[in-house]
Amino acid sequence: MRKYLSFFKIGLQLPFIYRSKVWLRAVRHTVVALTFIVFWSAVLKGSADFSGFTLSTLITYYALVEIIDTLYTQTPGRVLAKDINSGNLSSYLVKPINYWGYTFSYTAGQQLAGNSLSFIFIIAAFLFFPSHLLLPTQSVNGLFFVLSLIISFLLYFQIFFLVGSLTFFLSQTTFLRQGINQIAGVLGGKWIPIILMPVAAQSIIIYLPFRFLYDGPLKIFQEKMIQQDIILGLVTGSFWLLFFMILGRYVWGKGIKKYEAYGH
Amino acid sequence: MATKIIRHIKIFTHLSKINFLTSLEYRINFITLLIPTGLYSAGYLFFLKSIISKIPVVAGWDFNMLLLLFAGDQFIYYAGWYLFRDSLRFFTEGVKHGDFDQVLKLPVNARFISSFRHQQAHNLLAFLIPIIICVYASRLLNFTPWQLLIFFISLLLGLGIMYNLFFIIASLSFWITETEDVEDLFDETSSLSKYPAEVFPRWLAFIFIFIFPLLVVAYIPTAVLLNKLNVLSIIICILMFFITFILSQKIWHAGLRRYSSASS
Repeated sequence: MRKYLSFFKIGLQLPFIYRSKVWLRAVRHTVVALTFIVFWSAVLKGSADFSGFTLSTLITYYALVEIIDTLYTQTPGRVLAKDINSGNLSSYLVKPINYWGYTFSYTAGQQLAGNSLSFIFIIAAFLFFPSHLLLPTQSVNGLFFVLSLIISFLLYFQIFFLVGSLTFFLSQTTFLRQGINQIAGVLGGKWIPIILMPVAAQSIIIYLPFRFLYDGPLKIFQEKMIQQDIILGLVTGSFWLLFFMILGRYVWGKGIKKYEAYGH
Repeated sequence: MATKIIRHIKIFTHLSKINFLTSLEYRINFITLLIPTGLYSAGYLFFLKSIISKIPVVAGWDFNMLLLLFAGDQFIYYAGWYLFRDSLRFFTEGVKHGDFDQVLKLPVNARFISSFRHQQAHNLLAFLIPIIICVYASRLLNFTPWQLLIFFISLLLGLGIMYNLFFIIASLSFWITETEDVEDLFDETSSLSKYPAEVFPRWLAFIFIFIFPLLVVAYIPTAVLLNKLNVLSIIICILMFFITFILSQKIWHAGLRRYSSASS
């Protein structure tokens, strides 16, 4: 465990090599959130709400989408693909470490430090604009929200670890990775809350794992679910996580048998 | 002057051929690129459709009009990736690692070769997406060939403006070690160009037209095509193209004076 903590610490330190990156990332997330807010302000001009969403609830929604988005990264997929293609993976395989554990602890540290300022920006926005950014009225929902975020982070990580593992068989997975990232955004509720999507689309999305990435945690935060549904959602999300863990492990195992590199 | 231009066109044609042949090494990329690009467009259409199904007109723009604007924005985006985005990345890396001297030694305009040396030929297929969207959106709007010609020319001016802005950012590498995040931030901000100016508060629209001309890129050409703006508005595109060009030249020359490297 201690060695993974060291990787986590390295991940924490890495973004601060170029501190401006941390600032720019925070500005980038703010710009994205503001763009959606400006657009929705125009959509809602003259009407009080949009299918049950007021401007304040939509502002809260998109501010939180950016918070959640700061947690997600395609790094596991990207790093694994790079390590497989370059043969660099061998140097990890001969070490007494678990590659998944290394990538996870390293990525978690990097995401936490790299987006620290983005968190502060958005939390400050919640403090300064309490009429536009609405917090949950019940603290238990806040706890459920944090729990769902942990599951979503792991799920996102696991999906991209699986995509990265496919590099053993496909050699080039860049566009596949970007494609899945787009699907996760669209079907996960990053662009628009799922409830605002056409009914036919909603009936398909309910069977997919992507809704747990954005829409699920946000529904909990915005108190659009009763406690029973929240628990059911968390359990279903955990099942998807388990599914991707097993699948990822299987693909990784098959890939490792196929993998060969020399000169490392 | 004319011979210089012809010579550079010839060089550009040769580079295009070389880059196209290089891209053919990974033929699968031509197809797989359509996964993220197609999904992004599908996601945006889905986002618009979900809104338009409840509110048919946003800031005076209906679904087809918004689609045309999106097609214009995407045309510039992919043209940018095909023509100069990759080259500018190589340029900033060259400055960082001290390899840029080799570019300066070449018997060709250094700005030209830094901007257009590496084209991503597989982006050519991505052009299909804005073309299909454009054809679909125009099916109910009867445009004359003259209107379409002006639309295309003004889009090219928009592309020129975008190139100048990206070149300014790349030139910052003479002063800043890491420009990748500045580029990412700009990339995210430039996605504003897919929204109509009427969406923004007047002061913000003014900034995005005359100071940071992101709305000039796709909004003005589309608004002129849809008769929402007078054809003379194209003058703004021409003006902003020259202003950004002069600015980029000034920054480029200031950067060149500052550049130094050792043992490269």
